[in-house]
Amino acid sequence: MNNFDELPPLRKFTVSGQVQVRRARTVEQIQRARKDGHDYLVKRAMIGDRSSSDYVVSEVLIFMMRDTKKHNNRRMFDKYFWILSQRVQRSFRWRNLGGAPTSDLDQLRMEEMVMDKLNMLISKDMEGYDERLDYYEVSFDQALMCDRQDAWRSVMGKAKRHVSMTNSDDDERLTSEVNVALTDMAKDAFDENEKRNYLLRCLAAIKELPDKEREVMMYSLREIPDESTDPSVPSISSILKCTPKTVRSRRKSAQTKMKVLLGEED
Amino acid sequence: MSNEQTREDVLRSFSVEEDQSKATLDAYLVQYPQFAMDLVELSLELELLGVPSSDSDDDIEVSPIDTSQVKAALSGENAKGIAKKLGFPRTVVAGFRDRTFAPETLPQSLVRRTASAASIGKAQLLAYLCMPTSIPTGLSMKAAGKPEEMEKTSFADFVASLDLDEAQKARLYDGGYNNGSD
Repeated sequence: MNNFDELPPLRKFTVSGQVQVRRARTVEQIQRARKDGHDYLVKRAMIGDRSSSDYVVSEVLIFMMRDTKKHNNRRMFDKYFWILSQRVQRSFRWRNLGGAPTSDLDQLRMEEMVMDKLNMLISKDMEGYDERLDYYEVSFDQALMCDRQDAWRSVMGKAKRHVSMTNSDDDERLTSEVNVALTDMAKDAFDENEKRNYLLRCLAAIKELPDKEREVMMYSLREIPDESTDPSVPSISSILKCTPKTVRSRRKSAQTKMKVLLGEED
Repeated sequence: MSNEQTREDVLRSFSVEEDQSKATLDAYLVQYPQFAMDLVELSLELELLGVPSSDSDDDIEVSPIDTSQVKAALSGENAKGIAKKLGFPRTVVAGFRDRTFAPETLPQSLVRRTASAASIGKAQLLAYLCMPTSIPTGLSMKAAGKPEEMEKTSFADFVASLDLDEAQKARLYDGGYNNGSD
């Protein structure tokens, strides 16, 4: 690496105490962008096809936007800001794990929360340096997903849940499909796409459950064991501070309701 | 790992982990059980709802916007009408017209409501605001030669410089969610 290639390190630390680092692809693209100049980069940034070799990842745009501070180049800052705003706007088309907001107004509020949050970080970074913006230089899309999840949770809260089913314990067994999807995702019984779609359906059903049952099912979905004697292995009972028996009882109740929600009751 | 991290630090740090395997999730769950549900939900979001491998760029406005149209929508009688409709001082509308504000400092809801009241698109207004600032109309009449580019102002600083009461400030920042989108 020569001096031209050297990039200022990020400043935000990971939770394990290491400084965050940019991905290799980002570094390569920044080096290319520095050689090609702002105007050519802005042209390339208009390419929306992520599979194109000329596609500019958003992490690079964040870096270049921040870099305009050095030369007080407001004109270029505004161009990068505009392109990034458009990309954030486009990301609202991505599916949301919790489902779509229940009204246009909620959708609007969610979008504006995400945009305002990022803009606030950009604005503070312009005044000096805001380490929180480093996350977007590491992985813009993933940082944005984190924001979307927060906004969804904030806007929708628990209002969407409306459980009206009774707690039947007639049938303790899950159907074979639910069993596979919820408790043994390592098995390759579904093809990936089918499994993913089924999981999304299961998740939508889980979201409808009462809190305590929902928690158990969410952890089960991630294959967290009910109990563990190994301190390096998390368990549902330790996280929820309850006995393994309680975990099983809540799961049993949840499974009965889920069968109804998924239209799979006997 | 320190256990004194904030929820935001933990979730953000997890979200940008290159290795999103169960082992990584387990390590976070053991270390931060207080954020366990947030972490599990985020891990599912990241795994199941990966970003599209290919984006259409249909929505990016690559063609130059008609600045005169946006400017006209924010000027004269239109400006008066916008200020009245939204309950803002006219100087705020003039700030939009003159591209005084640094766009990243503007509340999104304010951009939306102003665009709606001016009968222009929000994206169109944002694109206009992202162009260089010109000398305000009144001053440019007196200026000789080519107008110079001016520094943009933080919206918060601009509001602080106005003599507004709390209700007026609230109207600027209020999302307008309870009384329609404009």
